[in-house]
Amino acid sequence: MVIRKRKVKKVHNQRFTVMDLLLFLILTLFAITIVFPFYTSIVVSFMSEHEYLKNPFTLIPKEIVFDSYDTLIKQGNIVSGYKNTLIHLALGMPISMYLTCTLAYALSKRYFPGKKILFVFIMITMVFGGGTVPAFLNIKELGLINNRWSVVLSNGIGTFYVILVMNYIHTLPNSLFDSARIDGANEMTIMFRIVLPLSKPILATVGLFYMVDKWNEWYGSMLYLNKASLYPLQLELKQIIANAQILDDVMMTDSMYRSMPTFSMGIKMAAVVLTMLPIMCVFPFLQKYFVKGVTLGAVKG
Amino acid sequence: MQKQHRYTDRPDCAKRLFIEMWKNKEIYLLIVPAIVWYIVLCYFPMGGLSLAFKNYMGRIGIWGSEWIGFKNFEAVFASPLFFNAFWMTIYMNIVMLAICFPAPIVLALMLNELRLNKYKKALQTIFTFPNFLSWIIIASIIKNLLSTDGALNGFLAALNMNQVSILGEKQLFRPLIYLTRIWKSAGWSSIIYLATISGIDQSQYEAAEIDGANRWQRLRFITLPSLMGTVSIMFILEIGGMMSGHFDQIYNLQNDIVAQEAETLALYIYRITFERTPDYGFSTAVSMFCSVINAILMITANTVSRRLGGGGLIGDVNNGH
Repeated sequence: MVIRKRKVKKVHNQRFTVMDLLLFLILTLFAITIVFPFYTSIVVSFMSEHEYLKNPFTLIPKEIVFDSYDTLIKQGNIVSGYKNTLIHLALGMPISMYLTCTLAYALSKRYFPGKKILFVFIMITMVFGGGTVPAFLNIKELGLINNRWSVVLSNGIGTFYVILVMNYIHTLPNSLFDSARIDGANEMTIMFRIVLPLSKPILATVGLFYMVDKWNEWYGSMLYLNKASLYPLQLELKQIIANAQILDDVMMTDSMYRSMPTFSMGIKMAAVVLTMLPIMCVFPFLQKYFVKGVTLGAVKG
Repeated sequence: MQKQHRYTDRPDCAKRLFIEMWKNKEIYLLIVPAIVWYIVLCYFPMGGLSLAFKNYMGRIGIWGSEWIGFKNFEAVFASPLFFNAFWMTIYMNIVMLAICFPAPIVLALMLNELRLNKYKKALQTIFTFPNFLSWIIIASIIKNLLSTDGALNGFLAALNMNQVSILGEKQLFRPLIYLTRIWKSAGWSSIIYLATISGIDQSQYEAAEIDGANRWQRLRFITLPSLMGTVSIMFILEIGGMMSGHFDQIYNLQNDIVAQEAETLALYIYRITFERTPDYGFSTAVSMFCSVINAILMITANTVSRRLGGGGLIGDVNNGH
């Protein structure tokens, strides 16, 4: 971690003052406001309806039940959401990584005719874009509506990630590539055998960013996919929440639905927990890689 | 580059260029897929903006539809709903620049001054976490917390206090947007500033300490000035997305009661395009308006920031070469 550098110097001649105490309190309070909503959501997802109705504000539930998860998985939406998101990841990750690496490698070369043009060509997309409507019509004219490739392809390259990788390759010594070239290696070999193995740290970071982006993707799916069987996880979650809301409203007026076993808040929160579970589990261990992406970018900028 | 000399004595530029290109043919082969991707998924939609000057016919597509000049724009600029959304976008963005933009800077400075290093790391992990979740998740969690049958009201009921309905209160919706924005992303943005702070030359601090500068003075005269470059880059990025940003957040947090309170251009475009019979020409005209203003704002901010010596985003990336 970057922040480590400072701590060595800071120890001498400093006492723990009122100012420090105040900082400690403010930062701790902010941390609590972040943790607490997640905590209550997780608690609610494990509560029984009976207990929730008695008191929605429960820090430690008396009994842990899996009713909400049972109902949710029986409905099956979340399972198909998981399946679709995993398919998007499996199709999208190799494509994104391949396109990003090749482009970054080319842009980090010292010279080839058209390099400047290529750079401007991709930078323009960072400043100017068509926006939602032309993007939607474009997908429509490509005939990709209701086809998962629409989502996979429209999330293909993140220009910012290309620049991160490019900046990193810039810091590698040129002599390495030159000597390989003299030995008769072609560009493919240099890229896959020398450059990419040396760029592992940044590739790990960029790969993680891509994964999180693809995991959280929902807007493109909402526009391009109309079949519920194709919905990714995030969109399923959105549907579950909207449906639970509607069901709540209906149940107040219509006794027909009374027989259905629903504890809508519990189901909603169970869906939330299942959706964020992978990120929640790995984030504490991988946070340093995300931070690395920023610092590697910052060093260059 | 040495080999080039063999060709320089020939006047035939085109041939030289061709030879250079031939030498690099593998590179071109390598990047063809990426270029195709940019053309099909970025430049086609940009070309699709021409629809703003056309009358869209579904059967013949964007390219075949007939040109109608500025009629779509005339309709857009005659629409009071468009202007409402436009002013709302500007208003909310100014407030966000005033409140949400400085928040991560303050957070970074506070984290930097915190003495407990183990604790600081744990805090950073917590602060950055919400940024990696989608607004759908965040909105659900916030609704669980604040809805009338949620945790907050349960807590208030336990204290025998009156219920509050924060999500159904019109005046509270925009503040909720600002606060949840800080809540979600200030921690992550602060990492960017912390990275810059950790890159500051330590001898500056030591020299200042010897000269008798106290903690506050060191913060004011060393840390803050060193942050200005990063601040200006973040500012340019923020400005450049002003017209089209924040859709995810507002769309997921809103409900029918408060929907009108924060209808920015991004939501307006979505609503007129996907929630009713669409007039694609009209929507595209609004889209184009946003894109053009975004680009102008970004380029202006970039230029101004470079003139002031703050360093620009676009220029910096170029210098990286």
